[in-house]
Amino acid sequence: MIATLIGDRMIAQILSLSLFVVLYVAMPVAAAVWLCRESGKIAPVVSGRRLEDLTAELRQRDFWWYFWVCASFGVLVWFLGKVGIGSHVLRSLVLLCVLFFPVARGARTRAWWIFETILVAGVVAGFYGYLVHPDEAGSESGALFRPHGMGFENRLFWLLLIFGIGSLCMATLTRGLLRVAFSVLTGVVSAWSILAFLDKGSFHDLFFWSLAVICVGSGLMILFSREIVHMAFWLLACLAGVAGFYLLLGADFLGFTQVLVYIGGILILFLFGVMLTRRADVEMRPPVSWRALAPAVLTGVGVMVLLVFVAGGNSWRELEPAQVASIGSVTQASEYYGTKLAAPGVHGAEPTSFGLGVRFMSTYILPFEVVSVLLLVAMIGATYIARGKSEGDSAGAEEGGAV
Amino acid sequence: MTALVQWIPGFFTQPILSQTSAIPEAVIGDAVGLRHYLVVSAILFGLGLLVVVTRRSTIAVLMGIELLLNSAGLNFVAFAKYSSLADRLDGQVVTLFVIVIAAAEAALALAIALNIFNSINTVELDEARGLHG
Repeated sequence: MIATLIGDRMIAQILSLSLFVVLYVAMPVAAAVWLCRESGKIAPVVSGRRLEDLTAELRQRDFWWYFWVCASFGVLVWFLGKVGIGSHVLRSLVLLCVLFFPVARGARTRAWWIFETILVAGVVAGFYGYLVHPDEAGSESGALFRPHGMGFENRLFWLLLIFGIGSLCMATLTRGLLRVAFSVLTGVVSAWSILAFLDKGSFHDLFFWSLAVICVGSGLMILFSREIVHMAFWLLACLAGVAGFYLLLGADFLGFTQVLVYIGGILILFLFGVMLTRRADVEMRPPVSWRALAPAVLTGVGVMVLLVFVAGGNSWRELEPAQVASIGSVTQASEYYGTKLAAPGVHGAEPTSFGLGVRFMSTYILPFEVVSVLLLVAMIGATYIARGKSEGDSAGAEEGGAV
Repeated sequence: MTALVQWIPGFFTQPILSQTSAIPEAVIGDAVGLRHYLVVSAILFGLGLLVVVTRRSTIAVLMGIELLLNSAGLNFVAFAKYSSLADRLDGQVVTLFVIVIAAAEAALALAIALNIFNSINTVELDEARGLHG
């Protein structure tokens, strides 16, 4: 009898009630008492100084007080979830915002402020997405806010958008901490990909997000590297990621061609170009500051955001997943060889080289020949243009002298 | 008030995992499809454009152009897989042409950069204004 009376449930009730009382009765009362006691000191601060000075002063007086407020605020956010706001991630982001605010205040570095800004952007995006598309599926209220079928419920789009905003913010940053912030973002997306994998159990999704991290991250590093050799090697990573995308899309021949031509050919060409156009005695000019490039950066980021919205927002004609999986399981190669090379439903398990060869020799014979001639002309032309003056050749010497 | 008292213990005693099991459904969204590839290639295009616009070295600008061409090729292949009913190899053929033309372009442009370097001792685009273009 006593055991049932003082069971787990009873203890849990007592504990939870005491916690509730401490957090929502005792803490506000203590805060009020503290404010009254300190009001003599605070009042001139409020009237005379800015808000930043006020928060700095508060932080100096009692730093831990802020964490109590944070904790109670976080639990409040949690209770909001119990009341009806369903997104745990949204509430966690709110909590992170509040928790990282004093760090951003205290560290006083731009990187932390950027991090805080990104968090706030995530919260705003999450609230917006929540308002536009509540978690209950099939509610019609969200349709009004989706002029392009953007799919606000897919928060990965928001994450990619935050990537864009982050790159815009990073454009005003110095180096060093920039990479830390990028790695934080990369870690977030990696965690996302793992979460997607755990949720859907789909290797395709896992590989897609990993490759997206590789491509976008190394693309950002191309943009932010100062050394041109570093740029070349980040370009290598980016092109390898694109090759992975080709393989993931079922284009095996194309993926390996990408590796052969781009990584094996064009990148080596770039490295030769870098090597041949460097001289130790020529002083490198200091790079242009990012602020001087503001119009260019704004234009580029604007185009990028616009493209992302167009790409994600348009209602492209897209086949059903079953259709996508079914086409290509039986193609000409299978018919030709008389065997089924791939099980139906396996993405891109069919070799494409047979079909590509047939098309090059039938439908695309004219472009194929034209491109062949173009390649030959380009090769001869590049050899002619690039030969040095020291060859002793009269035409090259005249050309070099005339420019 | 009684309702409040009733759900508070449930909140504290309920295992965390069962509470958070709703996260992936709400967050991850639909499976990877055409749009995901398009968004990634749009971001790559924007980054390539930024490289082209902000760099002064000819070779760096060429790297940005390679990035632009790659994002276009990714678009072709993604559309060929996800959106074509009849023949999904057409997009791949076009992308192969793009790769070939990119190789020719890179060879020629690097030869031109080498020539510029031989004549004005730098490859920075700001300095190459002998033609007053």
